[in-house]
Amino acid sequence: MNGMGTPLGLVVDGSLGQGVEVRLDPATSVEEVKVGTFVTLQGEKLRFFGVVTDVKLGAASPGLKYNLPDVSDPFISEVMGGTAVFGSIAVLPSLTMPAVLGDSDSPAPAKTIPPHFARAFLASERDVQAVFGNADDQHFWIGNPLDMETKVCLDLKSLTERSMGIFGKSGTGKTFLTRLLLVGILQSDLASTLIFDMHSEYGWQGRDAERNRQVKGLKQLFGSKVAVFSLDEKSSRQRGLSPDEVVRISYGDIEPEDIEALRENLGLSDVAAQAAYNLKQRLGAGKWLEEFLGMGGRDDLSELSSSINVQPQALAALHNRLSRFKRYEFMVSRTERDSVQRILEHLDRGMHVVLEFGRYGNDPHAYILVANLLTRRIHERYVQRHEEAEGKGGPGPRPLVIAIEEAHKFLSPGLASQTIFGIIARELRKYSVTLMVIDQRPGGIDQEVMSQVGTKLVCLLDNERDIDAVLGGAPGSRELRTVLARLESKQQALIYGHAVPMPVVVHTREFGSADSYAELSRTPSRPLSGDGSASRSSGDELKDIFG
Amino acid sequence: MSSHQPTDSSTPQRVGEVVESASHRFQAQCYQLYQAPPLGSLVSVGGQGEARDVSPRVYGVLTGIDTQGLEPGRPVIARGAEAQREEDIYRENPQLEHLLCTRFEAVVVGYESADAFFHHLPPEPPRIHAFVHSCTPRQILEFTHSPGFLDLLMASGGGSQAVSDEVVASCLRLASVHHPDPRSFLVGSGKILALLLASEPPRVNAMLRRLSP
Repeated sequence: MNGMGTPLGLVVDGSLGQGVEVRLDPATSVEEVKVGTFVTLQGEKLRFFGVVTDVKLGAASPGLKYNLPDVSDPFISEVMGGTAVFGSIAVLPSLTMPAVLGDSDSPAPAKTIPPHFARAFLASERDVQAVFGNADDQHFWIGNPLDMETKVCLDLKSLTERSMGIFGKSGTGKTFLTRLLLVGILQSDLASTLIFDMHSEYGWQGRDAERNRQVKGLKQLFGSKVAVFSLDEKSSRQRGLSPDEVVRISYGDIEPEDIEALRENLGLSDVAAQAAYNLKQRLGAGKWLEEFLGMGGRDDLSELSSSINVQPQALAALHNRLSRFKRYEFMVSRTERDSVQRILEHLDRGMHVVLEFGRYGNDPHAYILVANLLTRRIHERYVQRHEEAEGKGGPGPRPLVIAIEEAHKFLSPGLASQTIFGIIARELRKYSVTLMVIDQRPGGIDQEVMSQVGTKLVCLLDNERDIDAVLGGAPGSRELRTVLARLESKQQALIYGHAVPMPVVVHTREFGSADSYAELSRTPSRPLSGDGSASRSSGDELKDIFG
Repeated sequence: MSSHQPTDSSTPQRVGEVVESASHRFQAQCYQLYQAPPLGSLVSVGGQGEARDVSPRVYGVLTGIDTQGLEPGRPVIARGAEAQREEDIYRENPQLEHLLCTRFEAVVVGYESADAFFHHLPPEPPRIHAFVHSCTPRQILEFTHSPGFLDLLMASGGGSQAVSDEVVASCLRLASVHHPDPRSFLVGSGKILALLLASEPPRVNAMLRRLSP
């Protein structure tokens, strides 16, 4: 068999754009070949690697369905199968394989297709390994191809170089996939991560509702490499976590831009949102918000409105909506330590920061406000550092991945051009900051932002608009649509983009068992780039946990 | 009255002599009345004795058998009005054996040359007076091992389509018993027929019903 997998059939038709049609051998039943399965096609000079995108039934004669053979006779049924009627599969050849497996040449994108009657085989484990690589410091095992034991590995360098997106309906395993990705990035130590943990699932333990068990968070797996910041200390402590830092935000930190990012969510008119700029100008930077919120009487507001030349109703609406900030316990007049600064310090040390929102996770205004505010400051800092590094010719800042959930609330077409996340998604790659966008409604995200997402990991989606949004512009998107629609609702994801050589459907690897923790908490082989404080290996900590 | 030659013999039985010959078909006359091989059976012509060096052994499949009077101007008449049994007629009229003759027609489905089988028409047709032999089980097995002979058989036909399909079915049934796995031979041949006749589903269906073991 020369390392080839099971023979499937012959190429009988096709094009580079639409993929090739493989007629199945009589011995191969359509039931044995699934959408998403990997296939190799042996041409005369090249060997192609592709994926099954459709399975079809064919008949040699169109009249056959009007003159049915007597299939109750097993002999007749056996004769007809594979000849007068046959199965065929559509294969999208994505890569050409090196002539010799294990060669230093890596698979290259296919620029042609195999000729007529090229033989198709199920891809062997070795083929898949040659394409998706071996797990090492820079390649993270994310899962397995369908019905195979081989590992599918993500190229973490390519993954973190550009923004990435994790999409899928609610309950399809986005959170698990995100945890895995974060673990991969932490293992590789290629970038720092800042996670805006809306539902407190990533830092300390989260919940696997499916199996009704607790699963470990990053802090438990990576110990001192991870710092958990909390916006809601009470909630964190209730869950048994003593956060590294409690985040306090002063009114002075909030800028009119942050209010503008909240405009849609707060239901503010353009005029009302713009009034924040007038207020800052009138009342002074650093204190405008606290002073504004401190105004109680209608008369005060009315006077102010006339002095800054804003409609009284608009100003009253702004005051009314922003008054909710006073209920946030994390909002204070003056902070003892600058939380933003502390987060930056941790990131600079090569650590990873999880910001837990606790009970504020259910308040989208709080989430957007804090995420936007922090990210804006970080953005300023990274741009500044990058420019400094360019001036001195030194290395740029350490790459940073910012993970945000419910991304459509930041990156909707109306907001994407205004919020800091829109800017990062579009241009901050060159400043070493990328986004990890986690969302269930990718259709609600600005198209321009979606087009900049380098690697997409998509769990089951069934809304047309969402599917269009994630597949827009991808090569073979029509074929991928079939694959995407057939994903199982759990533990399966379609991955495509920069971090994988070709689109692939994976069964995501286990997360939650003792064995999986032992593998996932592997300490990176390279030293920390910061102060190296992570001297105690997480393996030791694991022993503490499991004995 | 039975005209069956033993087919399981390891040596070919001589069953007749070629009296008409063309590239794609030949006609042979039996030496004895009613002694033609069964319809659809495989026969070989020539390729023996001195002729072996000059002409290849041609293989044919019987597509029709007929028995009639030797003299065209002398029609056969009924003679059994007084006879009790059919056999009595022949016993009481021994000349019948010489006035009647059995002929069979075969389509050429290939030839053998230098111990290799070819499933296409021979370079030259069988000679007149060449001997026709029934095939041994080994010859049948080897000749029908690959399904190429079906192409010629289907292409030649033996007159009307109905006869042709009937002949093909009986040829395959007869050959199948000499294969180690008769059913898989029939399935394999059935698949070839299904492809050859893909545009005629009713005909395929009818053919497969005939083949079904």
